[in-house]
Amino acid sequence: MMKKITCFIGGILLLSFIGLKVQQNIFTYPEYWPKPIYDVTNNPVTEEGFQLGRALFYDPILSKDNTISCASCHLQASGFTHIDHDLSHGIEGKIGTRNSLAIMNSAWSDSFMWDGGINHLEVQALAPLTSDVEMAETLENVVKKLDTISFYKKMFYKAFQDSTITGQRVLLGLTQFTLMLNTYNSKYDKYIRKEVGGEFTAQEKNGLKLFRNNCASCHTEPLFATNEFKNNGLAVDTTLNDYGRMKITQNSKDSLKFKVPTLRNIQFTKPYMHDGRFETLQEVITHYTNGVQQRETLSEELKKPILLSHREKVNLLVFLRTLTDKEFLFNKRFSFPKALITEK
Amino acid sequence: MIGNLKVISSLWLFMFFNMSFFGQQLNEDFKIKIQPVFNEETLQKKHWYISETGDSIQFNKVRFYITDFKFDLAKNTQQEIINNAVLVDAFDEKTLLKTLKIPLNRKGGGLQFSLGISGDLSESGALSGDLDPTNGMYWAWQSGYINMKIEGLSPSCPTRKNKFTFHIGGFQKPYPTIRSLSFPIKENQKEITLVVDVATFLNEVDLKENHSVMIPGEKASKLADLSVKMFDVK
Repeated sequence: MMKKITCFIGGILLLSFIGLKVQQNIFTYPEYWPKPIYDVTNNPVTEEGFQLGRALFYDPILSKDNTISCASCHLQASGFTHIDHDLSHGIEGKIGTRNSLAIMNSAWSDSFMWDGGINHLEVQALAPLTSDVEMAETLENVVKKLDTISFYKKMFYKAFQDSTITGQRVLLGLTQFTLMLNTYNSKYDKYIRKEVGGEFTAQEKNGLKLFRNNCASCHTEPLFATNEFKNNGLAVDTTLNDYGRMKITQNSKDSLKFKVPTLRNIQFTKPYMHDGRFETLQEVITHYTNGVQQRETLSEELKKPILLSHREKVNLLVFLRTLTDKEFLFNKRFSFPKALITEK
Repeated sequence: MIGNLKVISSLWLFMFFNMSFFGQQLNEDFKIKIQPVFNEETLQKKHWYISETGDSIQFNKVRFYITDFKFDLAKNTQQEIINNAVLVDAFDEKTLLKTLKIPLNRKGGGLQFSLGISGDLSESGALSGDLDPTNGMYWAWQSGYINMKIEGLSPSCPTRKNKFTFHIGGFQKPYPTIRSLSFPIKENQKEITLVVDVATFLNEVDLKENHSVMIPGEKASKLADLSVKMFDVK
């Protein structure tokens, strides 16, 4: 009996600890998550820095002709990606070559973009900012433009105690906003934390089991991603001839390998894959069960076919929907800042 | 204070190392004068030069990073002058003189430095000053610094507007492009003139075949090997 009481008290204590968050300034994450890869002590996230980054993220001033902002291809309601566009477009209707990635839990990534060409969160924004088919601007010119606007001079002063605008500070501000885009309040998270609202149905439980057996080696909990590059068996789109990671490493072993993206909020981040070829999750699952192309660099995990019955596919889909975090997708702190209209 | 933490910590380290490093006092000025030339001539923008291979050449941009200065000390130790990444622009006079604070009791021997940015700095995110990406020496699509840019035009180049563009960079194996240089200095020497002869580089490049390198890789690595030959002291 005594043993049972001890276990019960221990359990309660454990649960109360599980609910705790790690907090570094205003950057928070669940205590049971791995330590972030990004070192927030180098760029502590403050309310002022976050708001500066938020204004920059939503301001088309970052593009050459002031028409495209980061948010143009990274919409909050779709998990900060570009819904309904297989390939993202930039200024003057120019079309890119890849599907925009969702922005979430970025502090746990050690590289960015589908090919991992970017090695640090702070310099990630430089890629779309300078790409000819995206914002086609230079950081130098962004600094010049911002420097003429008193709204930004004030915001930089608040964030850095100095109104001097530099390229580094533009990037650090954007990083602070991006660092806050963390999602860990989906039904799945509540299920793991045994919180109210996290009660799984039998179908969802079965879907989780199927997920763990078939998908989790690459889309690993709790981030549902790994910092790895895999060839997931997609046929080459000959209109793009995109060989992914190989472009960066110049190593044929990396041919057709792309970053393993997170599956969090996957219900809303369509279309799917690096070239946005699949419109629905059903198509994605069917690819993994029936469409995998055998190639030399194919991921080991996919060499053995994934076999799922129709019922199992449905269960898996139902589980994937538990990764939706509406508190994140509709959090007003991450939406367009009215100050850009009222104060700028 | 917040976003400046990197700068502040760098400054703190800089001051700390300036004040004392293995007991050395860093309180003597050492001047590095940089003198860009084409053979014997001072290098000028948009001025025609003729290379040994007979190519007519104009230069629009010659920029490079020098970093990680080290001085030999007594007792066979070395003094590293940290946090010194200097961006040199051959056509910007104010970048052609650099004053370093160095230890008093150094002995004659060597001055060493690197041509290019280390892998560590290339993986450190957004940096400030000469390393701020606004300087146009940073690759956005594949993180890392461009260690050297040599741009210009020559009728020998079968390219649009006869342009040649050499952006030498990349820090990852097997093709890192940072290179080390070392020059002797005397015990009481307080300045050094670094002659950068661009002709040495262009004399060994066949502009008909090699006129555009703008990504890391084997070609960039070979050009990096070539680029160190441009440097000499006077």
